[in-house]
Amino acid sequence: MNRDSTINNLVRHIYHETDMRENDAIRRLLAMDAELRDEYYEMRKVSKMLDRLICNPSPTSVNIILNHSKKLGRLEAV
Amino acid sequence: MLITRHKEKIFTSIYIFVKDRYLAEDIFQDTFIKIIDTLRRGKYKEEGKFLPWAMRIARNLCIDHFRKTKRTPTITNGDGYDIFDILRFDTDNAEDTMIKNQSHDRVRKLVNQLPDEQKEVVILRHYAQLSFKEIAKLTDVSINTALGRMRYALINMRKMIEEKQIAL
Repeated sequence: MNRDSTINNLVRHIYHETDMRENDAIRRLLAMDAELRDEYYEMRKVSKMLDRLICNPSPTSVNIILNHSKKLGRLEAV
Repeated sequence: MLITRHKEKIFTSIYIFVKDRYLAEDIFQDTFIKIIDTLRRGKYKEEGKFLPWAMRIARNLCIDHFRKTKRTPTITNGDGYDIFDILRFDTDNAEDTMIKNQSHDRVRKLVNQLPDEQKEVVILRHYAQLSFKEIAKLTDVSINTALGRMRYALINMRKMIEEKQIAL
Protein backbone atom coordinates (compact mmCIF):
# COMPACT_ATOMS: atom_id res chain seq x y z
CA MET A 1 0.00 0.00 0.00
CA ASN A 2 1.48 3.40 -0.96
CA ARG A 3 1.67 6.35 1.41
CA ASP A 4 -1.19 8.30 -0.23
CA SER A 5 -3.47 5.34 0.12
CA THR A 6 -2.40 4.87 3.74
CA ILE A 7 -3.10 8.48 4.59
CA ASN A 8 -6.47 8.30 2.84
CA ASN A 9 -7.25 5.40 5.17
CA LEU A 10 -6.24 7.53 8.15
CA VAL A 11 -8.69 10.20 6.97
CA ARG A 12 -11.42 7.56 6.71
CA HIS A 13 -10.53 6.43 10.24
CA ILE A 14 -10.75 9.97 11.62
CA TYR A 15 -14.26 10.18 10.16
CA HIS A 16 -15.27 6.72 11.44
CA GLU A 17 -15.55 5.19 8.01
CA THR A 18 -13.22 2.23 8.57
CA ASP A 19 -14.29 -1.25 9.69
CA MET A 20 -12.88 -3.16 12.67
CA ARG A 21 -10.29 -4.98 10.59
CA GLU A 22 -9.02 -1.70 9.14
CA ASN A 23 -9.04 -0.11 12.59
CA ASP A 24 -6.75 -2.82 13.92
CA ALA A 25 -4.39 -2.39 10.96
CA ILE A 26 -4.33 1.39 11.45
CA ARG A 27 -3.63 1.05 15.18
CA ARG A 28 -0.68 -1.24 14.44
CA LEU A 29 0.60 1.09 11.75
CA LEU A 30 0.40 4.14 14.00
CA ALA A 31 2.22 2.30 16.77
CA MET A 32 5.14 1.63 14.43
CA ASP A 33 5.36 4.88 12.43
CA ALA A 34 5.91 8.07 14.45
CA GLU A 35 5.68 10.36 11.41
CA LEU A 36 2.37 8.88 10.37
CA ARG A 37 1.14 9.07 13.96
CA ASP A 38 1.96 12.78 14.14
CA GLU A 39 0.15 13.41 10.86
CA TYR A 40 -2.87 11.45 12.08
CA TYR A 41 -3.16 13.38 15.35
CA GLU A 42 -2.68 16.75 13.63
CA MET A 43 -5.44 15.97 11.12
CA ARG A 44 -7.74 14.70 13.87
CA LYS A 45 -7.17 17.85 15.93
CA VAL A 46 -8.26 20.09 13.04
CA SER A 47 -11.22 17.82 12.30
CA LYS A 48 -12.45 18.13 15.90
CA MET A 49 -12.05 21.90 15.74
CA LEU A 50 -14.25 22.01 12.62
CA ASP A 51 -16.90 19.87 14.30
CA ARG A 52 -17.55 22.59 16.87
CA LEU A 53 -19.13 24.94 14.35
CA ILE A 54 -22.89 24.95 13.92
CA CYS A 55 -25.02 26.75 11.33
CA ASN A 56 -28.76 27.48 11.66
CA PRO A 57 -31.53 28.70 9.36
CA SER A 58 -33.80 31.45 10.68
CA PRO A 59 -36.86 30.53 12.78
CA THR A 60 -38.98 32.17 10.04
CA SER A 61 -37.76 29.65 7.45
CA VAL A 62 -38.44 26.76 9.81
CA ASN A 63 -41.95 28.07 10.54
CA ILE A 64 -42.75 28.45 6.84
CA ILE A 65 -41.79 24.82 6.29
CA LEU A 66 -43.74 23.58 9.31
CA ASN A 67 -46.82 25.56 8.22
CA HIS A 68 -46.57 24.06 4.73
CA SER A 69 -46.46 20.58 6.24
CA LYS A 70 -49.47 21.31 8.51
CA LYS A 71 -51.44 22.79 5.62
CA LEU A 72 -50.91 19.66 3.52
CA GLY A 73 -51.99 17.56 6.49
CA ARG A 74 -55.24 19.51 6.74
CA LEU A 75 -55.92 19.21 2.99
CA GLU A 76 -55.45 15.45 3.16
CA ALA A 77 -57.90 15.27 6.05
CA VAL A 78 -60.66 17.06 4.06
CA MET B 1 -38.88 15.48 13.03
CA LEU B 2 -36.83 15.59 9.86
CA ILE B 3 -36.44 19.36 9.86
CA THR B 4 -35.27 19.49 13.47
CA ARG B 5 -32.75 16.75 12.88
CA HIS B 6 -31.32 17.95 9.58
CA LYS B 7 -31.87 21.72 9.32
CA GLU B 8 -28.34 22.79 10.35
CA LYS B 9 -26.60 20.39 8.00
CA ILE B 10 -28.76 21.20 5.00
CA PHE B 11 -28.82 24.93 5.61
CA THR B 12 -25.03 25.16 6.03
CA SER B 13 -24.46 23.31 2.79
CA ILE B 14 -26.89 25.53 0.88
CA TYR B 15 -25.30 28.64 2.29
CA ILE B 16 -21.82 27.59 1.23
CA PHE B 17 -23.05 27.09 -2.32
CA VAL B 18 -25.05 30.28 -2.80
CA LYS B 19 -22.99 32.64 -0.62
CA ASP B 20 -25.98 34.75 0.30
CA ARG B 21 -27.92 34.41 3.54
CA TYR B 22 -31.32 35.48 2.19
CA LEU B 23 -31.04 33.33 -0.91
CA ALA B 24 -29.92 30.41 1.27
CA GLU B 25 -33.05 30.85 3.42
CA ASP B 26 -35.24 30.76 0.27
CA ILE B 27 -33.55 27.67 -1.15
CA PHE B 28 -33.65 26.01 2.27
CA GLN B 29 -37.43 26.53 2.38
CA ASP B 30 -37.84 25.28 -1.21
CA THR B 31 -35.74 22.22 -0.40
CA PHE B 32 -37.87 21.19 2.56
CA ILE B 33 -41.11 21.96 0.77
CA LYS B 34 -39.99 19.70 -2.08
CA ILE B 35 -38.99 17.03 0.44
CA ILE B 36 -42.35 17.22 2.22
CA ASP B 37 -44.30 17.13 -1.07
CA THR B 38 -42.31 14.13 -2.31
CA LEU B 39 -42.83 12.28 0.97
CA ARG B 40 -46.58 13.08 1.01
CA ARG B 41 -47.01 11.78 -2.54
CA GLY B 42 -45.25 8.58 -1.52
CA LYS B 43 -42.62 9.13 -4.18
CA TYR B 44 -39.63 8.80 -1.88
CA LYS B 45 -37.96 5.70 -3.28
CA GLU B 46 -34.45 6.16 -2.01
CA GLU B 47 -33.18 3.07 -0.30
CA GLY B 48 -30.22 4.85 1.21
CA LYS B 49 -30.10 7.47 3.93
CA PHE B 50 -32.42 10.45 3.96
CA LEU B 51 -29.71 13.13 4.20
CA PRO B 52 -27.84 12.37 0.95
CA TRP B 53 -31.19 12.41 -0.88
CA ALA B 54 -32.13 15.72 0.75
CA MET B 55 -28.70 17.12 -0.05
CA ARG B 56 -29.10 16.25 -3.71
CA ILE B 57 -32.40 18.14 -3.78
CA ALA B 58 -30.74 21.14 -2.11
CA ARG B 59 -27.77 21.07 -4.41
CA ASN B 60 -29.97 20.77 -7.52
CA LEU B 61 -32.05 23.74 -6.40
CA CYS B 62 -28.84 25.76 -5.92
CA ILE B 63 -27.68 24.80 -9.42
CA ASP B 64 -31.12 25.65 -10.85
CA HIS B 65 -30.88 29.06 -9.28
CA PHE B 66 -27.47 29.69 -10.80
CA ARG B 67 -28.65 28.48 -14.20
CA LYS B 68 -31.53 30.93 -14.07
CA THR B 69 -29.31 33.81 -13.02
CA LYS B 70 -26.46 32.65 -15.28
CA ARG B 71 -23.99 32.67 -12.43
CA THR B 72 -21.53 29.90 -11.67
CA PRO B 73 -22.20 27.88 -8.53
CA THR B 74 -18.65 27.94 -7.24
CA ILE B 75 -17.90 28.04 -3.56
CA THR B 76 -15.26 30.73 -3.91
CA ASN B 77 -15.01 33.46 -1.35
CA GLY B 78 -16.68 36.24 -3.31
CA ASP B 79 -17.76 39.68 -2.21
CA GLY B 80 -20.06 39.64 0.76
CA TYR B 81 -19.77 35.88 1.14
CA ASP B 82 -19.27 34.69 4.62
CA ILE B 83 -20.98 31.47 5.60
CA PHE B 84 -19.74 31.86 9.12
CA ASP B 85 -21.67 35.05 9.71
CA ILE B 86 -24.38 32.91 11.17
CA LEU B 87 -22.33 30.18 12.71
CA ARG B 88 -22.54 29.90 16.44
CA PHE B 89 -21.14 27.81 19.23
CA ASP B 90 -23.23 26.07 21.83
CA THR B 91 -22.32 28.01 24.92
CA ASP B 92 -22.82 27.91 28.65
CA ASN B 93 -22.26 31.52 29.73
CA ALA B 94 -21.14 34.95 28.51
CA GLU B 95 -17.45 34.32 29.11
CA ASP B 96 -17.59 31.04 27.23
CA THR B 97 -19.45 32.79 24.43
CA MET B 98 -16.76 35.45 24.07
CA ILE B 99 -13.89 32.96 24.09
CA LYS B 100 -15.64 30.62 21.71
CA ASN B 101 -16.60 33.43 19.37
CA GLN B 102 -12.96 34.50 19.15
CA SER B 103 -11.97 30.95 18.39
CA HIS B 104 -14.83 30.62 15.91
CA ASP B 105 -13.69 33.72 14.06
CA ARG B 106 -10.20 32.26 13.65
CA VAL B 107 -11.55 28.96 12.38
CA ARG B 108 -13.82 30.81 9.96
CA LYS B 109 -10.86 32.66 8.49
CA LEU B 110 -8.89 29.46 8.11
CA VAL B 111 -11.66 27.65 6.24
CA ASN B 112 -12.18 30.61 3.95
CA GLN B 113 -8.55 30.44 2.89
CA LEU B 114 -8.82 26.86 1.65
CA PRO B 115 -9.00 26.17 -2.10
CA ASP B 116 -12.61 25.74 -3.31
CA GLU B 117 -12.49 21.97 -3.76
CA GLN B 118 -11.10 21.44 -0.28
CA LYS B 119 -13.59 23.83 1.25
CA GLU B 120 -16.44 21.98 -0.44
CA VAL B 121 -15.37 18.60 0.98
CA VAL B 122 -14.99 20.11 4.46
CA ILE B 123 -18.50 21.53 4.30
CA LEU B 124 -20.08 18.38 2.89
CA ARG B 125 -18.35 16.10 5.41
CA HIS B 126 -18.61 18.22 8.54
CA TYR B 127 -21.85 20.13 8.09
CA ALA B 128 -23.80 17.98 5.64
CA GLN B 129 -22.30 14.87 7.29
CA LEU B 130 -22.09 12.97 4.03
CA SER B 131 -19.73 10.02 3.81
CA PHE B 132 -16.74 10.30 1.49
CA LYS B 133 -18.47 7.88 -0.87
CA GLU B 134 -21.52 10.15 -0.96
CA ILE B 135 -19.33 13.24 -1.44
CA ALA B 136 -17.51 11.54 -4.30
CA LYS B 137 -20.83 10.75 -5.98
CA LEU B 138 -22.26 14.20 -5.36
CA THR B 139 -19.20 16.05 -6.66
CA ASP B 140 -18.50 13.56 -9.45
CA VAL B 141 -14.98 12.59 -8.39
CA SER B 142 -13.42 9.35 -7.19
CA ILE B 143 -13.50 8.51 -3.48
CA ASN B 144 -9.71 8.82 -3.38
CA THR B 145 -9.95 12.34 -4.77
CA ALA B 146 -12.54 13.27 -2.12
CA LEU B 147 -10.34 11.77 0.61
CA GLY B 148 -7.27 13.51 -0.78
CA ARG B 149 -9.07 16.86 -0.76
CA MET B 150 -10.06 16.39 2.86
CA ARG B 151 -6.55 15.33 3.77
CA TYR B 152 -5.05 18.45 2.22
CA ALA B 153 -7.74 20.64 3.75
CA LEU B 154 -6.85 19.38 7.23
CA ILE B 155 -3.11 19.63 6.57
CA ASN B 156 -3.43 23.12 5.08
CA MET B 157 -5.46 24.34 8.01
CA ARG B 158 -2.91 22.92 10.42
CA LYS B 159 -0.10 24.65 8.51
CA MET B 160 -1.95 27.96 8.63
CA ILE B 161 -2.43 27.56 12.39
CA GLU B 162 1.29 26.97 12.82
CA GLU B 163 2.46 29.68 10.45
CA LYS B 164 0.22 32.31 11.95
CA GLN B 165 0.68 30.93 15.46
CA ILE B 166 -3.04 30.93 16.00
CA ALA B 167 -4.36 29.80 19.36
CA LEU B 168 -7.60 27.86 19.00
